[in-house]
Amino acid sequence: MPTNSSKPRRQIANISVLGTTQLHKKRPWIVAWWSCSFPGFGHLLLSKYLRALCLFAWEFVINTFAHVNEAIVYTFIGQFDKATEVLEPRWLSLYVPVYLFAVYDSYRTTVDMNQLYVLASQENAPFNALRMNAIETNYLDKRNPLTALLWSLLMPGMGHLYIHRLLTAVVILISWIIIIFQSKALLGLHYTLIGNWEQATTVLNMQWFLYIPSIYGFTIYDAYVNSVENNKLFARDQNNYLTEQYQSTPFNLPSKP
Amino acid sequence: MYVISSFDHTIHLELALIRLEQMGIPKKNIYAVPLIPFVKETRWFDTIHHSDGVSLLDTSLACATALTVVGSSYGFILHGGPIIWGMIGAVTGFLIGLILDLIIRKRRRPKTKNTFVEPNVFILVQCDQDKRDQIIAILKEHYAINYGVLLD
Repeated sequence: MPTNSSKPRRQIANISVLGTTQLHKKRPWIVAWWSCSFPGFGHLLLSKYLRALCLFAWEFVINTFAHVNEAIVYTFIGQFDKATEVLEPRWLSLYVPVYLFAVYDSYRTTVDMNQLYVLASQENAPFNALRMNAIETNYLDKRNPLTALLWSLLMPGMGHLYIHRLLTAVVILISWIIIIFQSKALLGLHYTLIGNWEQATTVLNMQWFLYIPSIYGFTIYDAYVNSVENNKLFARDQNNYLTEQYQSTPFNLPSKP
Repeated sequence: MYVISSFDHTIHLELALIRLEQMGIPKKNIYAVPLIPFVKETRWFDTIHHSDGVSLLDTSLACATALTVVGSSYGFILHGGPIIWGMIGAVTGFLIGLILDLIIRKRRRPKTKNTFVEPNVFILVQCDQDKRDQIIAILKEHYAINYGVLLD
């Protein structure tokens, strides 16, 4: 029996046990920029998790084997010979096409999804506000954006746990731990704090240390933006509920005698 | 008589409505009007109840990340090391992004008064005189922003 006419065509959000996924407007250049800073991040912003994970993992592998980060450091500090020397030609040319694709694809998809947002927003189809199963519970509620930001500052991934984006949280947490360990960033921090700056410089692993800025910056941004959008979604859902439940009968206000 | 109150969008609002129904106010005597704000002013940070759609973190965090990479790279040869120069890069980038954002914003938006209208909800309850205090207590308990009473 065809009952498709009553089915929503485009829902604006999906509450699942793995996370809250929603359409919201984004600036395409900002998404493209995060793809530039680390391929995969742009797609994480778009909640295209599988694609994001593939690109993210690939960036890790290829950058580490081709020594791109190291070359970046040497280029910035003017040691061009050193930069040429560390780059691994067997890997390097594999890097560029995927990198460009990640930037292009995330830009293109943002434009598409912004249009979908307009359509879904207008359609205003209902969606679940609570999901439970045997292993997890997720529900729509208000979250404080600054709390998400602060937890991300303390430990990338925690902010995402706070706003229940489990996939991003797990990916960020694991990669953060690996990066911190491999770059010896905590040792570097230790030496920096006690004022032993030469030691701090030598102990750090250039290649891995340069992963830190992009992942740290992105995590803070993503956690913050998503908690803001999550709150808007909550207000939208509540508006719909209240209008449906508490406006269905006419309400008689007193008239002036 | 009528008790009129306003709420932020929270779970407490829905809990309050349920409590009102449980104390014997029929659903048809409760009316909710979600308000849509006119004025949209930029704030430094979005709060739990307010956001202006365009985050000031957009440009600033993008710039901060970029300059942290540059800063920590130079840190490998500069006095102070990559961590200190990375942090200097982060702060500098953040400020540059913020200033850029504010300049663009100033150009694009006409100056508006510094009044904020947050999206919230009006709740109107029709009830008998003797239930007034009980209703007000429930509203207060569930973080209503304010209330008013209208006699008929």
